[in-house]
Amino acid sequence: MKKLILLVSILAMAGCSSKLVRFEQYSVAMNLKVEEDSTVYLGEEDQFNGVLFLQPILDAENMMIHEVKVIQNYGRYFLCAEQFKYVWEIEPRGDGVSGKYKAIDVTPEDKTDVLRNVSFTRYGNPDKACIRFRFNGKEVFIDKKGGLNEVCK
Amino acid sequence: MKCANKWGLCLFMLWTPLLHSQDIETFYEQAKAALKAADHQTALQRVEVAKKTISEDPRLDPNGVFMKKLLPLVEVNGQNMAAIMLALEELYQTAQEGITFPDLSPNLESVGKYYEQAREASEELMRRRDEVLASRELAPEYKGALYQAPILARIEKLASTGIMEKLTGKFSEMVGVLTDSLGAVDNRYKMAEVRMQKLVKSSAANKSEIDKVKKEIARLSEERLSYINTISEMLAGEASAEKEPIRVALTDNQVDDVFRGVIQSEISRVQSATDVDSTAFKNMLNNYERIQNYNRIFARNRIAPDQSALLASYEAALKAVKINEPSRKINWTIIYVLLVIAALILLLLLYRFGAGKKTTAKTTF
Repeated sequence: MKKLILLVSILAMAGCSSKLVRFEQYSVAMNLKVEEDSTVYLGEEDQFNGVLFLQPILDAENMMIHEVKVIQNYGRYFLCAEQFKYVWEIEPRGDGVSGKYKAIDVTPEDKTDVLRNVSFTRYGNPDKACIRFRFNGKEVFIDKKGGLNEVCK
Repeated sequence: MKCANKWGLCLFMLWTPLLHSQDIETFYEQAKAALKAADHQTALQRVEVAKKTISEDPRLDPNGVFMKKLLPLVEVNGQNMAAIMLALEELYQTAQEGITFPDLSPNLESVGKYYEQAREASEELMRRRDEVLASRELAPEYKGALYQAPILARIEKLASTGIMEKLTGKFSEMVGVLTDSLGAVDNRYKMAEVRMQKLVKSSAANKSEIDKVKKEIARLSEERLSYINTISEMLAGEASAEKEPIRVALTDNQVDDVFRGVIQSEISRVQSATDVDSTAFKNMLNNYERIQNYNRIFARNRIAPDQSALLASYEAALKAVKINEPSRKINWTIIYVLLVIAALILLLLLYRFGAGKKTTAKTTF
């Protein structure tokens, strides 16, 4: 009887689960214009797929910028600009109108350091790709959860 | 800093500054920028480097988006642009070597034919240019760059001024012959004028002889204007650098002297004109308007100084010409016939009136 109940439960759970398709959320590095109201359209012209409101990040960096570098990896966005102190990670929430953001300090040894000659690129394999972030002639790898490494693990 | 020893990472970054290669994104952006500047060679070279870099380390393109989608797109556009550029270069070379003008006799008809050939050659060149541009697909952002490419500017220059330059070369050859002919006709005209003056002074000259010389002068005047007309047709349109060889040739041949002489002799002809009917006056007026037009063309092209003062005298001479309207002769025959008819009608009416009175009297009685 117990076995029967277990089998029925498994079948019921299988029936209720939603169907899935493979959906890879990533991008190549983009140089995007920062509008006067500090918004950034993700994409080009009418082919955009979201708008980032950067005011809190610009406040934290205490600077105004005209262009920002953005890359998407496994659904999370990473952005940085020349003279920034941090790389910023934005993780969209399920509601479709907000995202959590956090600063990634790639130069923890130097709190006054600013980032120059910054660039993003994805690196690795399809199931385990990192963001390779280059700055000041150096490079670090940011994994799919925002962790900082010297190699892509 | 969950995944790495924080201090280890710091040490790594402090002591091992990287002499790294460029990102694939950089090669890709450089390729696109080059194509937007119509530099297909650099674009294709960057695509090649990007592909090589990825093939050496496939982790640079985790999902193959560069290799499968982005780089091939730029590559196809680069190859198409290269093919279009090559075809445009070939078209330019062919057109430059192929556009020639045959030797025609130096007259007005030939000038017209040359202009027609030049126009057709220009239109054909532009048509073939458009064909080449449409022969391969290009993304809109690169198509705009193609229109800025130097080869297109060279083709457009050849179509607009280059062909005219070739034509000018032909016209320069014609100018010598035309000005020689104009000078010869001008001399014959002057001689005819002298002959005319002698005839007028001579009491022995008869009217038919004078009329003959008058006709000769009119014919020579027409011929002289025809040569000037041919020359002015060569200078049609705006004065431009391409016409400089024609201008130099005309100046060297002192066309300005001949032109001034033409106006002066036309003034004399108009002043000496007697017994001018309306048709002859209309011809004089036409000649004046033609000369006025030549003056504008020659002055604009700096062939001759502006002859407005002389033209004012010409106009005054024209205004002074007395036009002989044919006198209206009374045709008496018609008047006689009409009078006879009127008299007959009157007699008939009187007769009928008289006969009518008699009949009425009888009836009354």
